Parts: sequence; C-alpha cells; structure tokens
Amino acid sequence: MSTYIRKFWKFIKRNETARGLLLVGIVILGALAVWGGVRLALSTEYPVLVVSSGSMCPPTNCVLPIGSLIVIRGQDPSTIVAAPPPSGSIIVFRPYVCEPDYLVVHRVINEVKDSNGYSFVTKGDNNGGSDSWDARCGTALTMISSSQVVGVYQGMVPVPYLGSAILGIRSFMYDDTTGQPRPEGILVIVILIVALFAFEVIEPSKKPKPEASTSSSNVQPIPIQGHISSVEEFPNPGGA
Amino acid sequence: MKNHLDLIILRLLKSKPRWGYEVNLEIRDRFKVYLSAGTLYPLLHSMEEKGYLQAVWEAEGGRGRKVYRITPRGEEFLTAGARAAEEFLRRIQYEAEIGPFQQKHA
Repeated sequence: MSTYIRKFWKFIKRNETARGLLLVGIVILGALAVWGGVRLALSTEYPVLVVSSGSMCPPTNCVLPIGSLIVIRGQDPSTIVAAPPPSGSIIVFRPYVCEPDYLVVHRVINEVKDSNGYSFVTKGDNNGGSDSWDARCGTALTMISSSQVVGVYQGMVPVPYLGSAILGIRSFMYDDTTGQPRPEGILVIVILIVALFAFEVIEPSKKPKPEASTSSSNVQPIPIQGHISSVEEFPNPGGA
Repeated sequence: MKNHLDLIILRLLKSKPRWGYEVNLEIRDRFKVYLSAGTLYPLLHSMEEKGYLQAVWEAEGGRGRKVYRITPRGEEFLTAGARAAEEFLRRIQYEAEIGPFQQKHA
C-alpha cells in the first residue's frame, strides 16, 4: 500500500501536468466539502442566496435591498414567528411545488396549525397585500405549508457589492426575457477554458529551459561548510 | 417567440390590464408556450423597473395580487419593437423574392 503511495508521489513530483490536475482536483473537492459542510451545518439546501427583487425593501424601512447576500437556516416550523414587521420571521420558500427552482423570500405575518402541521401567510414588506400564488401547480394558494419552507433568514453576509456582482454576472450569462444562456456568456466561458488550457500548454515549455541549461553547463552544487544541509539535490554522478 | 416575450406581454397588457397569471394563461392559449414562474415574474419585475409597466396591488378577498398595466413609455417601446419586427419581415420577404437568382449556382 505504502509503496503505491510512494510511487504515486514520485509520479506527481515528476509530472507537471499530473501535479496541476491533482491541485485542481483538491481545490474542487475542497470547495465541494466546504459547501456540503455549510449545507449540513445550516440544515438547508440553499444556505446562501442573493435577493433579486425589492419586495422586502420598502423605501422607508428597507430590510433586504436588491443584491443582498443572505444566510438562511433550516428550522423547526414551530420556531417560525408570525407577526407584522419587524418581528415576523423572514422565510425563503417554494411557492410552486411543481417549479422547485423558483424561490421567494417574504415575511410570515400569520400562521395556522392544524392536523397537517403549520401553514404560513406571507407578505413582502413592500407589497400592498399578502401573497397569493397562482394555479400553475394545480390550485391557487394563499398559504405556504411548512414543507415548502427552505429556510429562515438569519442575517446578511457583510461583503458589499458581492451579491450585486452575482446578479450582474447572472444577467450577463442569461437572457432576462427567456432565461436561456446568452451567446456572450457562453463565449466568455469558452475563452476562460481555452485560456486555462493555453497556459497549461505554454507553461511546460518554459520550465525545462533553466533545467536543461544547468545540466548542460555541468554546474553542481558546491558544498560550502555550514551550508551543506540546505543542498538537497544529489550531484549528477554521470554528468550531462 | 421567446425572443419577443416582452413585446407580446406589452401587447397583451395594452388590450387590458391583467395580473401575472392571466398573462401566463393568455400566452399559453395563444402561443402554446407555458412560461415558468421563474421566467414570467422576474420579467414583469424588470419591465416594471424599466418603466414599461405599472403595477397596482389589488385586494381580492383579503389577499393581494399585482395588476399590471402598460405605461406611455411601454407603449413607445411596443411601437418601436413592432416597427422593427415589420422591417425584419419585409426584409425576409425581399430575400425570399430574390432567392431564385441565387439558386443559379446550384
């Protein structure tokens, strides 16, 4: 087993491409692990979200401006507070079960508990009335059941402009009127991928040159007293 | 059809103010295309932000819904868009008519 690891390590040390791939793999795995960990810790599928509309931002008492980066957490429905602003819980939910990608962040202003559990009446602080959801998934709804709740608002990520930047990138990548990826967006992604590979191709040709020059000129590390320990390379026994 | 969704919505709202889901049902009946909430509602919001639409909250049996109407600015945009579309149609008509000359190569 350990010999395999040693062999693999030797291979990684020698092969620059393999080293690059390993590094990319570690970075991707690390990012996934962090994301998974945050999702687990906050017990919700979408721990961090960007607010894209102004329904929670009344001009006088704005709670969630457009572009806010918010953190939510999965909570027991009984802990959700139903009250007018500012005390009612702000929740993220799926109003349409047949369109699970469509999420809304509004405040709970009323709740009902029956044999099916909790249901919530929601409202955007900046909207003129409480929410009603159209019949696209069967019947029109005026309440959200606790199974539709994705999480409860905890706070904002205090990084200015990051949320707006995400919204900007999204509107650059996707057509606002169709939701389809835009050609400019696809082009940028393709250019980035090509650039990545281009660097990978250019880089190796640069590096061997200094190595080749040192071996051809036969420069060997000269042991200087007191500095021997810092020289780790073995002098090439056969020369070049 | 989806490329002119904004024009279609403006045209529908020019005939009468409607709420979001009515727009959805009209488009489904006329164009046989079903818009997801994730397409329609953000689009209505952005058109409202651009000043093409004006939304009014209408209370109905205790619950609210947003009724959209077209603004003068929206009408301008619709007229300009319709003109551009007509121009495009005229051009492809013209291309189709001169088509047979190009087929000589084949």
